[in-house]
Amino acid sequence: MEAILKNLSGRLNQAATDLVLLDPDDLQGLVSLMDVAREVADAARREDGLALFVQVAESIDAVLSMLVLFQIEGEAEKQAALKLVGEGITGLQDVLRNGPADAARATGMDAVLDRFVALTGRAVSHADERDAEQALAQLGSLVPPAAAMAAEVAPPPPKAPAPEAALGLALDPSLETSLVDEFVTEATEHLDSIESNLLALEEHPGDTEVINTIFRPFHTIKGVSGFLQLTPINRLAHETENLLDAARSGKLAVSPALVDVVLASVDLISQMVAAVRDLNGKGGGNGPVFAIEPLVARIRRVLAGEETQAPAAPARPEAGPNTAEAAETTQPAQPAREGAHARTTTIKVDTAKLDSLLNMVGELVVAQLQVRQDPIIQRVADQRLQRNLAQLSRITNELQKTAMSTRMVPIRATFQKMVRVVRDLSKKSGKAVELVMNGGDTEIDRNLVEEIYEPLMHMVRNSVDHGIEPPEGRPATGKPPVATITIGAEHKGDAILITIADDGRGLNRDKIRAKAVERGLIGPDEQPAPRELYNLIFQPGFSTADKVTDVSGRGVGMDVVVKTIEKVRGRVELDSTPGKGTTVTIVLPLTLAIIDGMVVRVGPERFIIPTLGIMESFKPEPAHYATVNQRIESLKVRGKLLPLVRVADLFHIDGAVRDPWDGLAVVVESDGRRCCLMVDTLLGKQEVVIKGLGERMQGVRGVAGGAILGDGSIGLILDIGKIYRMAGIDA
Amino acid sequence: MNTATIRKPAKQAGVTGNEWEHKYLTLSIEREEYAVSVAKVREIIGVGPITRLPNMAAHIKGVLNLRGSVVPVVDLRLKYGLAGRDYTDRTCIVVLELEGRAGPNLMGVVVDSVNEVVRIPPDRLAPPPAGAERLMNGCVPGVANWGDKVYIVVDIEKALADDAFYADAGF
Repeated sequence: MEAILKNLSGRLNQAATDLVLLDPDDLQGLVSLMDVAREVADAARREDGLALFVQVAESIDAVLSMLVLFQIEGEAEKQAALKLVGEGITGLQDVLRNGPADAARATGMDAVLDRFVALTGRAVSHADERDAEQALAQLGSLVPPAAAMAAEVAPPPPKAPAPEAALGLALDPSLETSLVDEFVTEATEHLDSIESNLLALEEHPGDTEVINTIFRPFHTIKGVSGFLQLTPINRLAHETENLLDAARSGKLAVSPALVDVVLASVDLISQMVAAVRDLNGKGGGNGPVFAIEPLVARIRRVLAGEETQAPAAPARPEAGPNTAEAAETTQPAQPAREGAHARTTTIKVDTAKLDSLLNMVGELVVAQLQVRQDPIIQRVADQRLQRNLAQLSRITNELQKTAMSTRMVPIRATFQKMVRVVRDLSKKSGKAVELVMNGGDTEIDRNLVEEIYEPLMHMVRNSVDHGIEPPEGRPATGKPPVATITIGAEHKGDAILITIADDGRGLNRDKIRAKAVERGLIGPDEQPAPRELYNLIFQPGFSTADKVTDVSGRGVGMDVVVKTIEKVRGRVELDSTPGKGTTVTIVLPLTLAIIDGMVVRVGPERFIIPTLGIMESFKPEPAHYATVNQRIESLKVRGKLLPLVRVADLFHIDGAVRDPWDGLAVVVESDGRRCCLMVDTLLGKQEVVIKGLGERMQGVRGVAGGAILGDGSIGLILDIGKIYRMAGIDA
Repeated sequence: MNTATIRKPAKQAGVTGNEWEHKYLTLSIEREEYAVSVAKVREIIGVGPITRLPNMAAHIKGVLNLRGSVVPVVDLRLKYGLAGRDYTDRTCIVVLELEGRAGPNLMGVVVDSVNEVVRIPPDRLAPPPAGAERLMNGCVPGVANWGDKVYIVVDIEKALADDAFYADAGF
């Protein structure tokens, strides 16, 4: 016991020091303090009579996680939250230092705990009040008067953690509610899709692609439930996945029994997920017990080929008893589900609806403009009408701004979810990993955010699981013991780049090669270039991980990543240096994004130049103009000669300004090279939604897309990088 | 006794299978009448501002804004090698809903005028005259003799699929 107390005291002192230096926006700091709080809670939980420590540490953890997740807003509020954390820590330190006699201190802690409850809005831990009182009472006998303690007090053997065999569903109260919410939403969606795909499989038992569409969601459910330590769900999903894996690789034929047993598994997991949602609504704790063993046994029988025919009736016999048992325990929790819905502040909206809303708002802006500019309206010298029109236009513009902003969100929130992923994985695998985030302010389309979350998580998981060496392996390579994973986002030309880089061992070319040959992806004598070789791991079913963990290593993941990214018309690139690390780059199109643009006129046509690429614009003077061989034209800008590119010539536009000094030179930069684009004149600046020209018009050179201009017509957005190539100055 | 109505599942919102089966929108191009399946037609609009796309084949007129969507426009006269003609108030753009990799693809075609919707049962279709097959790249499943008219039935999906949209100016 004394060792524990000493340990606690040490950790609390460390936490107190950390806290002094902590800024509420310092994510890394917050997370590492969360670690300490959890360690304190864990350590205290292993001993009887330390319930107070558990409670306070868990409360501290909860407050910190609220800070991490930006659930506390306002500078003063954040500081107040940190102050409360500080009081919690000092309180515990005092209890340790002064011993139990200090009854006043105890009441003081009660007040602090009350404030934690007020802030986090959840009940303190599952330890009951009695426990807390006992805790203080016991401390009296536990904390020995200084120095009086001697070797005679042998530390009791550490208690074994609760056996996992108990298949009751338990939700760790320290988990972020939003994380669990997300799991529930995702799992529910997955289960729905599994069910409909299973029915398709029943019709086409030989279709491996259909098996894949069932296998993958199970894999995801297994992975995430593993993270969240929802053991029964994880176990059942794992068993089912094994069964599906056998079917997928052709070792097992798809029999009626297989479909049946998987359906039963879907049913049971659905019930468990519903129970998790209810538990989450109550702040965690222990949930009902689900009888998964009979089903697991049946899955194994089917896997062994002992059962191929579905029992005649009832259709899903295994689910029967389970449902009965589960129903008993989950029924009373039903009302809580509604409560959970009530406190959600975001809703999922069909993207088609959002798109249509945005289009209609755009139309409204144009229609409103047309009314205002109508000659008849303009002749009406009525003050009230003009005032009302002005009001209409203000409202419309505001509406447009809001509608547009519904689509764009900074990527930060998505990145921040990775903190948790890395944290948990790093704990699970025993690898020390630091996560560095860059470019969190980069705004991306909301639709994309939802699409990239899973790929990003898969990549980060892969990095920790496969990329980073085991802790004992790192020192030999001369790398720092703490590995680094860097995730970043940036706009580049007409794309958004999201990178996930680790400083691990890099991809093992020989292993990939061997596996590729084994799978028949390449011939035994083929020697593909490293990059081509790396890209083979995006093939379905490709995995070089030697053992199957409950997180990754089954070769799903990478192909899911690619499929998901390709769905939003992006692509995935992979580069790796053996011994140095791996970098995965997700290139997403900008077609959904909004950009700031300069609207220019060339002859009768109008174009939009992304402001991001514009350095400056000026009216050239004859003295600044120089030609080589009468053809290669250039302009002198700040003493440097820059190539002059006539947009009118590139795009074959008649009626444009010919003499540079009659027009306007716009200095643009792409990939570090500059040139002057010659246009007739500048018409204005506008924030525009980039729209694709449609899949049949993707070959339009020098054009990144189109945008609706103020008068309702379409302006083309110039693609500076491609223009370099068209003009032949990209060398 | 009540007669039960049999409904086929709708392929498009509001349009049941029965309604557009064998129904065609007829349109004129240079005194010829073409018939396009109504199922492919989204709407018919007048010619508004079209933004030219640079360095594209001449029959690619450009893109127009259809309530916030960017819709490419093809001039069928130019596509089939007829002389271009100034657009009049009879000139129409038929907005088609074609199959795309990621959902329906809107595309507008400029025609001299649209005329009517007719129902042409398959048994009224005759094979196209010799040579027409090759000329239209196999996208004319048949022609229909219709009173004093001849309707040329066009598989518009096929007719527009082969389009060389890429730049024809040398770069």
